[in-house]
Amino acid sequence: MRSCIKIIMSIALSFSFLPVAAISAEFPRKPITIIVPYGAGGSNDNFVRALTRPLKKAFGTNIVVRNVSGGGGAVGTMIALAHKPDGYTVTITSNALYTLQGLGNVKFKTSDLDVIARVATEPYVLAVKTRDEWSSLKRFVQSASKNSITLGYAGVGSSTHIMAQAITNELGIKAKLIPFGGGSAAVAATLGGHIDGVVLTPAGVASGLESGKLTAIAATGTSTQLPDVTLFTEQGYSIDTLQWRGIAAPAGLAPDVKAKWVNAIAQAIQDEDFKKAVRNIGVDVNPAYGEQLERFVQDGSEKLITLTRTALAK
Amino acid sequence: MSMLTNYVDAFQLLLDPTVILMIAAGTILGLVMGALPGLTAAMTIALLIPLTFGLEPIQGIGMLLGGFVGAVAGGAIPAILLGIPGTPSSVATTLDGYPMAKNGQAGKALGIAISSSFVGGLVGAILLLLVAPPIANFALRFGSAEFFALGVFGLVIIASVSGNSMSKGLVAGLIGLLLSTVGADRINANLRFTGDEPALIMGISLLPALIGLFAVAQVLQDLATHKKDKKELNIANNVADAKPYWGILGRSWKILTSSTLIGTIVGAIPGAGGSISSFMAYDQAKRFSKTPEKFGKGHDEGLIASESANNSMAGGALIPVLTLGVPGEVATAVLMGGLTIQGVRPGPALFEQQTTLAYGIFFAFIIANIFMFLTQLMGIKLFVRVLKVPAKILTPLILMFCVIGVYGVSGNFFELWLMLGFGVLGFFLNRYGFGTAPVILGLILGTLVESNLRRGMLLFDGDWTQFLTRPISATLLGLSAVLLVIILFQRRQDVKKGTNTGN
Repeated sequence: MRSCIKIIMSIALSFSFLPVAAISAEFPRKPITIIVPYGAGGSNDNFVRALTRPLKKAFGTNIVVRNVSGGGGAVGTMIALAHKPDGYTVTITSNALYTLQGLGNVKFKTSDLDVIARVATEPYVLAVKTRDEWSSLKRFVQSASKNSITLGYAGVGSSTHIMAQAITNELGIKAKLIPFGGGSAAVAATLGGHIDGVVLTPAGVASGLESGKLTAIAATGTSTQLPDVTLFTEQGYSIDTLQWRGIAAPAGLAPDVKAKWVNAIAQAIQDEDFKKAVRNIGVDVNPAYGEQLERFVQDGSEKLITLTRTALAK
Repeated sequence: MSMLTNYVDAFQLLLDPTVILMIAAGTILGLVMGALPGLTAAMTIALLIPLTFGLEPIQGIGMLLGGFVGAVAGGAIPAILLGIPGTPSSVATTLDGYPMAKNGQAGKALGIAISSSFVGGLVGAILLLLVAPPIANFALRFGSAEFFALGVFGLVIIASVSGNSMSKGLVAGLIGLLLSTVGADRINANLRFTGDEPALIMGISLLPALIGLFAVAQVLQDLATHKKDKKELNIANNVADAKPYWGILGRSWKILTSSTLIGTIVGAIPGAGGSISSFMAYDQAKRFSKTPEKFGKGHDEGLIASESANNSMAGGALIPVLTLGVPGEVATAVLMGGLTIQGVRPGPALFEQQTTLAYGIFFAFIIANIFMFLTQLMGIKLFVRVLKVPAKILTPLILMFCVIGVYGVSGNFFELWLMLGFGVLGFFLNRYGFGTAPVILGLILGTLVESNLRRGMLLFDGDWTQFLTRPISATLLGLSAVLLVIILFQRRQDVKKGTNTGN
């Protein structure tokens, strides 16, 4: 009788432990959903879709991409955060995560997310219509501190808005900042001579630079798209904020599930097709995990939320 | 000589049967997607992009272009048969296409539509091939002041699409303008009328509004007026009539020419949006027609104007993408994303560095237009049979596609409520003769006018005279004023003569 109870007890015990062990040992046991907080076909969406195939190989399970647009990324992020932190629902993050908070229209905080990995980065670049007096950062600053210029950015409250403000302040130039309905509208206005330049990411200005109609004055970091560009930091200006694309889950991810995610991403980004697609999109694979990533997120969060608030208070 | 070699090389690129197959596949899929209300050209291209990952650049690009061309053309099918525009650019097609179908001329209407689409699409493609750079340069001259003036010009069109009563049309237009103010303003990001709904921060999305106002409103109307002993439509007659109508097109060559030009040029202006080009062409056709009173009641001229304009718009919209690397609206922005993934960077450098591919894109686009025509020609007799489907089956199906379309694009449940709300609004607007097209125009143009007025004031340091002194904007504003006076004068004459049957 006793032994019988013992056996039942041990079976019961093993069952009670089993599921916990099973979750982590067998993750993933079902398809994983990546929520893209923007419409289908945008650069964030294309990026995720390029990542899907190698990620599927790394995890051995299907990856479902779900587009939830609205509120400039707010709706999708909020929907992702409403899921259980079990690693089966993740979202893609960028600097919009911080600017949305700075705008004050959303209720989530950076700490509500468990950022798993930074996958790729791209700098912000100040590009102007090609002209003699704007041939270098030095000459540009000289000219623009005397005569006011007009700079366009992708939209009010976007990270390009915040960076345009930050760059103008740091360079000490006189610039009127003009919001546009998207980066391409700002580029069109520059090409048409309606404004003097833009602050955007390299992909947005690449074709204007190639044709020589635009000149890249300086960037906030290196980019394979802009091999010869001057960095602001090289000339003593402390602007080095990067745009990034990462994967994040709702906060509270089990450490071993997170570790599996990190492994899978590290494996996926080695994929040649992925590398090629990312290069074509115009961003650079620049992974960060663990402590390095934590510092990156904390820095970015503090800096950009404050900058957004001050930029909009004007 | 080198030009000729480019053409020959590019043509060889397209002789590969796989490329032709990909273009055909894209076009057919685009037609189906475009014909389903809610699934737009942008969505079609977005869905096709992942399929192009493993393909050669020209194969992938051919498929995407096919999807684009097919979706734009496919939008006309439900617009004519059911009064539901399949894509935003086919709203103007419903104005005369649907009344034709109701008069028992569905086959003829479809026939006219596909032939106009074909001519429009082909002319747009040829203009893209031959005169893209000057059109692109003209488009670049549009700054805030010019966009503002273009928007104002567009608002005058509301009078044209108002049906019998202009005041009711204006009321509907004002509803649209009012709704366009919802969301964060585009200059300072102050929230307006958003409540606590994050989905409204960026304003009311066009798609749920469009689907609600046209499709859901139509469904509600069908439910309200459903009679069991509904008169059988003459399907046999309709099917026999479903063929291209080159004769009618030939007789309306003036409308065809002006509409394709309007479609290409307005389509090429980044930010103006393809949806207003067909309205502008429609307005133009009505204004210069000998029989303006027939418009809105099933007049083939209105149908020709809208369909030739919205298909030539596709070629026009590609002009700034290929020559400048600047997409003008959502569909071409998504298309450009798809091209970049293929390693093709649209822009002036494309023609210098990847000349063969650049011309290959042109030819692929032309081939896509031909496929679009052939597919529709084969399918046209099938499309007409949609009318044979009993309302009790068709109506729930339409509603289902609306839900799938709206939810599929946004993934956001709130937009379904928005769609339903617009459906109820549209139902009442139709019932009391206000019409729904002015609401859509107001919604689209409100944002264009407001943001460009404010952007212009910011750029010009508050000097509003710039709006009146810049040549393009002055011309457009002047034209708007003149048109307004003419319209008011005509209305007075009509009232005096007692021919104004409205009110």
